[in-house]
Amino acid sequence: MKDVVDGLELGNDFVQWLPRSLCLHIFSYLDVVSLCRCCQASKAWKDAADDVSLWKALCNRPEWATSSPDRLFAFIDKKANSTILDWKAAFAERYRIRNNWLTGRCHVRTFEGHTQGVSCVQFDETRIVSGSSDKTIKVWNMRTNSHLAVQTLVGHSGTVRCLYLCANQLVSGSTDCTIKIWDLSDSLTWSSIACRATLQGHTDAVRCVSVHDSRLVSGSYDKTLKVWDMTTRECVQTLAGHDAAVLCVQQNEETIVSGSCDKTIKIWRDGRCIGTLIGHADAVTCVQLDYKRIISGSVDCTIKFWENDTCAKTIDWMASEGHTGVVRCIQTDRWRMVSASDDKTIKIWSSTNGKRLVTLKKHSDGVTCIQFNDKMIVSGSYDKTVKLWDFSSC
Amino acid sequence: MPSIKLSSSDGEVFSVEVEIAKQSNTIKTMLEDLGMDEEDDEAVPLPNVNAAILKRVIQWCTYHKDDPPPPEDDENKEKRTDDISSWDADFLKVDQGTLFELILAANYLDIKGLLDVTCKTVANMIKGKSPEEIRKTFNIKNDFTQAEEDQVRRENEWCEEK
Repeated sequence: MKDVVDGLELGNDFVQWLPRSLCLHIFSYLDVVSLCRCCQASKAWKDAADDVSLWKALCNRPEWATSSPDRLFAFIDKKANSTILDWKAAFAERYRIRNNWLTGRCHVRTFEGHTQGVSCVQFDETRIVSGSSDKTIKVWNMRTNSHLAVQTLVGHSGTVRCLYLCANQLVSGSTDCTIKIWDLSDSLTWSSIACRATLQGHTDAVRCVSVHDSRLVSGSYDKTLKVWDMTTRECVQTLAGHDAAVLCVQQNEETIVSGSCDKTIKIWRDGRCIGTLIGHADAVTCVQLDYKRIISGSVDCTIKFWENDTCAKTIDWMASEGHTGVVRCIQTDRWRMVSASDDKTIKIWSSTNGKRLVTLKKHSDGVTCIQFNDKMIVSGSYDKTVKLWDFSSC
Repeated sequence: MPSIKLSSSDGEVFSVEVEIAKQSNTIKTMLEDLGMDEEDDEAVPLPNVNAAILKRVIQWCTYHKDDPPPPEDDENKEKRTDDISSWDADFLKVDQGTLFELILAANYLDIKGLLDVTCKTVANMIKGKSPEEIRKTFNIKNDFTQAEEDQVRRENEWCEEK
């Protein structure tokens, strides 16, 4: 207490004498830029403003959090081989990449090889898989553009309409009415890739697939959804209710959400339809199950946000600089939403307030599919190419 | 209205309504633990707060006596500093010494609302300033060598890039 009183009387710099917990309480109200400037004031200020608790708290805010919770350390350079995590360095990396997202600053790579339009893409740490109207699936090595590193999976007799990549297992759906399960290998050698199973049951094109644990859900032009057990590879349930082709499906632990040419979105639980969302003026092409919301895109060119079974917000091209063509694909995370459209653009939005952040235009034809993680977007287009938009390398 | 007596470090005694004094969790706990709820002649000693500051703290608590309890901090939200009421802003137009004494008193007395608003006020004095302006504002001695200062500036450059 004596130090404190002396500090007060001398009018000294408070960081020198105020208890550390109170300094940190004050600093916890600061924005990033102010915090970094505090570091530059003096040694004592640097020590306080670099406190790990402040940077850890910043890293955990939704706008800086990484897309998947188990990848909290995603941006940490492991080469230091240190067990002490430098939260400030981690934050700095997230800050840089997020700024690139907000300004659309990215390095674009193009993967060419498909002879027809690309209808679906998926990617993981090392590879991109794409499905095309040329009836093939291509597996691209993300680290190289060499043609020799591309593998082509042949087997479907129609357009490959949808893909789901999970670890080394790839699920594909096609206009040939079947679903195929492929084994990919880490080693990227020809011989190790194989089609393990072909699931038959749908009577028309398989338009969408989604996997959650061992549950595979597929949607088809035959107006139904089918639930399959990935281990037995048998159809365990058929969900009927849509009046037209099913175009998109998403699921979480207990809920399945589907969109259809009948202009509606249906919510399914325990094999029953528990809700129908009506509002789109045309076919629903894509749905996303957000934390509390459902987000959908449509042939009517709009994106709609649904809360409690009603449309809470509509993004259209006039009011929100939205898409001027069919919205083909959307994905969201805690702070951003990415959408792809026939208007040849990819748009990045704030998923919290629906404000448009950036429009990306490099494809020469409609963009049919996108997937993103914290560092990049991968997109496929009618222009036959796959593009990788890397926000981390600039 | 029942009231209690609070005794400052320099021996001045203040009579305060119990409900007002109870905004301080420290006093609230003392009253509950010591069973001092009754009209008691004995003053509660507050050896860490002087009369000038205690007077201000009581003034703040009196004005805020009908406030709802402050919400729990939400780790997910950016902490705002632009939500200080005009009464509080006027109340905190004091010299730096007094402001930090209020922070210490609010911390010792465990009055969350007062601690938050005083810390926000200091944060607002930092925000938007250059390192040199921060040094001037808080009387900080720059103890970096030129080389160290350059190094620290480089380390923190990332946040200035747009």
